[in-house]
Amino acid sequence: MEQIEVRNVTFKYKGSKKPSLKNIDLKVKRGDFVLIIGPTGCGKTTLLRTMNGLIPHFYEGDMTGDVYVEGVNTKDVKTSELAQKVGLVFQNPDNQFITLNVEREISFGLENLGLAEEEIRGIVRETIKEFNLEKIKDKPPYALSGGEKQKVIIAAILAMNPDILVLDEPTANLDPFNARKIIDLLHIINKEKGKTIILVEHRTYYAARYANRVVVMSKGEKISEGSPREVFLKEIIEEVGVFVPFPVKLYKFLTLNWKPISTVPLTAEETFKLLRGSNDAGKSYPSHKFTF
Amino acid sequence: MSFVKAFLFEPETKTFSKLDPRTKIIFLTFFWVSTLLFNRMIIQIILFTSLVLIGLISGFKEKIKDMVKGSLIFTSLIVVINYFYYSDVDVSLGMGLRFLVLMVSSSIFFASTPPEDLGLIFNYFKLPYSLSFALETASRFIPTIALEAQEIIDAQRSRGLELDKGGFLKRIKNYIPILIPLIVNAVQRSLELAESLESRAFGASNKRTYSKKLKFSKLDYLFSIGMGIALAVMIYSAAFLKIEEIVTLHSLIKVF
Repeated sequence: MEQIEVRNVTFKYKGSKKPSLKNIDLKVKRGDFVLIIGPTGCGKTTLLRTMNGLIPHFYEGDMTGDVYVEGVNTKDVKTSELAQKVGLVFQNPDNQFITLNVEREISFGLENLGLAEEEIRGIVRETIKEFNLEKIKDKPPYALSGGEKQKVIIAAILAMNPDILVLDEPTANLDPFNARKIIDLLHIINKEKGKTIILVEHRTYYAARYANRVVVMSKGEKISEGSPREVFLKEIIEEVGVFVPFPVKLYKFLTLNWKPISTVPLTAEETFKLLRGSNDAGKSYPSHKFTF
Repeated sequence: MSFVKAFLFEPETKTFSKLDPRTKIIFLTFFWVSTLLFNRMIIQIILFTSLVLIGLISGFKEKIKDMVKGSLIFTSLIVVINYFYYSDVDVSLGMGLRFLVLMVSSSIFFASTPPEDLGLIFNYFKLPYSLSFALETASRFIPTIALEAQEIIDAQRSRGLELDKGGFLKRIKNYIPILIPLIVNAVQRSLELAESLESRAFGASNKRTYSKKLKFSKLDYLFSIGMGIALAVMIYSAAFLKIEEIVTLHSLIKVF
C-alpha cells in the first residue's frame, strides 16, 4: 500500500479564479525522498497542504479528488490528528517557532498530544541529544540563527514521531551553508530513521543527490515525474524555469559537444569520477570530500 | 515602547523569578487588593515604597523605571481628573499612586514569570489554555514585530519618508506608511503561525499535559506566608480599624 496517495485532486482557493491544483496524481512509498520542484506559484505549497489536511480543513475552497495518508482519507480526520502521521515544516522559521526557548519548543507538540510528563521529558532529552542542541537548549528564538531555528523546528516535529516529513522550502530564508546542512540533515533522517521525506526546494543542486524521485510542477499541473537522473535531463524543466543542477548541465554540454558519458552525474564528485573514469581509469581519487 | 517593554519577561535568572508562579500570584494579589482597599495617599505611599523596594531588591530597577516613565502621562491625568472631582489633594494623589502600584506590580509579575509558567497557573486554576497561550504568543512575538517595525521604518526612510517633520497631526500621519505594512505582515504571520500550530497538533487532545511541574520551595512558603499575613493585616485595618479615617494627611499635618 502507498503511504500517501493523491488521487486526481483539483483545488481552487476561495476567491481565486483559477484552480491552484489541476488533476494531480501522486503516489509516495514508505522511505521515499521526493523532491518537488517548479516555479513560484505553481501549486507546490498547495499540494503539500493537501497532504496533512490543511486543505480542505483550514483553507476554504473547492476540492475534488481525495488524498489518502496511510489509507485514511484526509477529509475524515482533523489536521491536528494527522500531525502525528505527517509533520509539516514551513519556509519562515520565525513564524513556526511558537514558544520562548528551544527545550520548550520541542515539548510543545508533545504536550498538545497529551503525553505523560515523564515521557515528554524523556523524548525532549533524547531529541536534544540526537540533534546536538545541548548548547542552545535554553536560548530564546531571537538568539538563534535562521539555520538553528529551522533545525530546532525539524527536531520539534520529529519529536512527535511522524512517519512522513513534509517540508515547504525549508531553506528559503537560509544562507547556502546552512541550507546545505539542513538538506544533509534530511538525508540522514531519511536514511537512518527511515522517514519518508517530501521536499519542496529551489536549491536543486543540494537536494537532487538525495532524492529518489523528482516531481515537476507548473501552473498547477504535474508536468514530469521520475528519478532525478531522468527528470533533470528533460528540456521542459528549463523551459518552466527550474534550476537544473550544474553537473547535469555539464553532462548535457559534454554529451552534445564531446562524447557520450555513461550516467548522468548529480554532484561535482560524481562528475569528476565519471570524467576520470573515461580517460584514465584506475588512478586514485583525492581523499578529501567535495563540499561545493 | 517603554510601556510595553515593562511587561516583557526577562530571561535572566533572578531569585524572584525562580519563585513558584503561585507565590507570585499571591504577591500580585496582595498589592492589588491592598491598593484597592485604601483611597488616601499615606497608605498608597507605603504600598508603593514597599513595592519599589521589593522590585529593587529583586533586580527589576529597569522595569520599574520603564513602567513609571511609561505611565507618567496617564497617572498625571488620573490625579488631575480626581482633583476636579473630589477637590482633595490627598485622595487625588492617592488615586495616582494606586494606578502606579497596579501597573508596577503587574510589570514585576510579568517580567519575572516565564510565559510557560502562566500556562501552568492557568491550568492550576482550571482556566482555558487558549488564554495563557495568547499571552505566551504575545510575549514571543513582540520582539519579532518590534524588529520588523524597525526594518519597515528603515525601508520607508530610504524611500524618502520623513517621520519627524511637521506638527503633531502631521507626525501621526507620517506613521501610516509604517503601520500598513506592519499590520499586513502581522496578519500574514498569524496565518503562518496558525498553520504551524495545526501541524504541532494544537488542540488534538482534550487533556493537554505540561512537562513542567509546579513546586513550592522553602522560600516560596516564607514569601507567601509573609504576604498572606500582610494582606490579612491590610484587610483588618481597612475593615475594622478604619485606619484611613484616623491617619489622614490633615491629621498628620496637625501632629507635626
